[in-house]
Amino acid sequence: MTRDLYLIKGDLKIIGRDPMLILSFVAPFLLLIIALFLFPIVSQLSIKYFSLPLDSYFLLGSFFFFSLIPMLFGMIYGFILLDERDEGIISYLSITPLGKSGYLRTRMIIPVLASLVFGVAFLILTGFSSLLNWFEIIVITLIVATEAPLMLLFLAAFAGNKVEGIALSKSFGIVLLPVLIDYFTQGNWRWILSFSPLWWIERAIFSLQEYRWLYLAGATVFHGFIIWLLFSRFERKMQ
Amino acid sequence: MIRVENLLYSYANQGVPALKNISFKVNDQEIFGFLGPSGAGKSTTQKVMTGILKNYQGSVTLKGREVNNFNKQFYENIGVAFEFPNLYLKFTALENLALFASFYTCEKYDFQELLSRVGLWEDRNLPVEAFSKGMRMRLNFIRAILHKPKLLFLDEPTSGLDPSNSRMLKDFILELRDNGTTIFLTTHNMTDADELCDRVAFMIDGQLPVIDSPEKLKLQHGRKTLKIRYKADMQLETKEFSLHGLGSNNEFLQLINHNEIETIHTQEATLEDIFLAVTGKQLS
Repeated sequence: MTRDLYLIKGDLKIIGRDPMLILSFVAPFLLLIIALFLFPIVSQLSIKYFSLPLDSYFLLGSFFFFSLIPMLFGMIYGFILLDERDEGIISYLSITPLGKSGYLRTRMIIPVLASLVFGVAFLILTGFSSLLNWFEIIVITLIVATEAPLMLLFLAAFAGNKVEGIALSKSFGIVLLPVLIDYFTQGNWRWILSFSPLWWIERAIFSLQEYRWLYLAGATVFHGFIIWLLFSRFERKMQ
Repeated sequence: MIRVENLLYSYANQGVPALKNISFKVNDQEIFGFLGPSGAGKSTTQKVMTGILKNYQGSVTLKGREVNNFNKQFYENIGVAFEFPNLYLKFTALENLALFASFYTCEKYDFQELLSRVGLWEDRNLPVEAFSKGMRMRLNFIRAILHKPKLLFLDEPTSGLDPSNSRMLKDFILELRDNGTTIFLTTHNMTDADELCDRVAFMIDGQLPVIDSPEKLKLQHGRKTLKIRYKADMQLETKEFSLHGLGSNNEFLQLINHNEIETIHTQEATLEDIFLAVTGKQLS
């Protein structure tokens, strides 16, 4: 565990010396500030001048931001991992007492923990506690937090280098689109949108409460399956 | 001691095995050289021996322990310097050493002592991305030994070094051996191998046709002759004499007494010559 802490200390140095990683690290805080302060102000102005209530849309917006947080943490660690792979550092770490498994454990768990802490705070501060109880907030955040290793492994499995990783991380945004379509449309055809891991979470939050745990179970299985697929591909690529 | 028996290794997507039933042992406190051209299987052997490549057939034991059964603690005893210096480029030399040292719990060298020894103390606070290839190689080397490993794997350690740094590093390697470290050296640099290795193995196409000491190999394969260059009638001439009975060879004695000698060399085989003779292939 001490070795993992030294690696984390090194990570903070890496992030602090890369402008793009600094921005990605600050972004979750900016999203929280927007959801916490900007949304209510715009909502009040909208009602005052146009008599148009936007609260439900802002709730969806906040969900978007909430979903982005683990992706951002996953992206940061994905870029660090790509650099380390390019520079042959992963091979070197595998012949130290930290080992490849210790290295990967740290790379996967830290963004999950960061997403979990930040995500719970985000949901509570932005008013989701009126929709969800404590237990649901923690379970949902835990599932959404697995988007972080999902993003990290997606980059590690498909990107040849950091430049490709930047391009791929943008394409990962496609998983957000089904959430929007599902929210604004009706009908069973929307199940075709279930390829997006976030669709299951959106359904769990915004659909009828009686189905909530069903969707959360589906989300857990789906996330686990994709992480397993990506990890297998990453392992093959590392050999 | 390192013992390798009938080691067979194939990469997943290649039909032909990279290592074909190779066997050898490395004694304690010995520098064992693995020589061969690029692609012969040297680095693959080192990767199997350090546990990077699994799923091999045969047996590879280090200090009596099979590589497949290594636990993380065992890596406290092993140091590896890869051919390409894999360092954190945005970190300084000192930060790199500090981070990698933090993974070991055993006794370590003082960073200042190591950095000074390889001439990097003045540059300790520069990011590694500002280092030349030679500086990175020197840092790569001290990173491999900072935890005082008992087994040291070196892959082309003098690659990219100027002659004086190359000499310094070779002296350092010999000193480590004399202080009890067992060293496995892979290289295609025959001069390094000749200067450093107690024994060498020639690797070609995943096989080891020769394992012996450089001295014995040179004696076995060298011609016992002496080549002399001298001036005769303002012309440069060359003549070769057998070493057998040289002191009573009148032609030789006449020649050295009555001519201006330019050079005299015994015709020992170099490791490069022996490699070519044994394997039929050039080293580079």
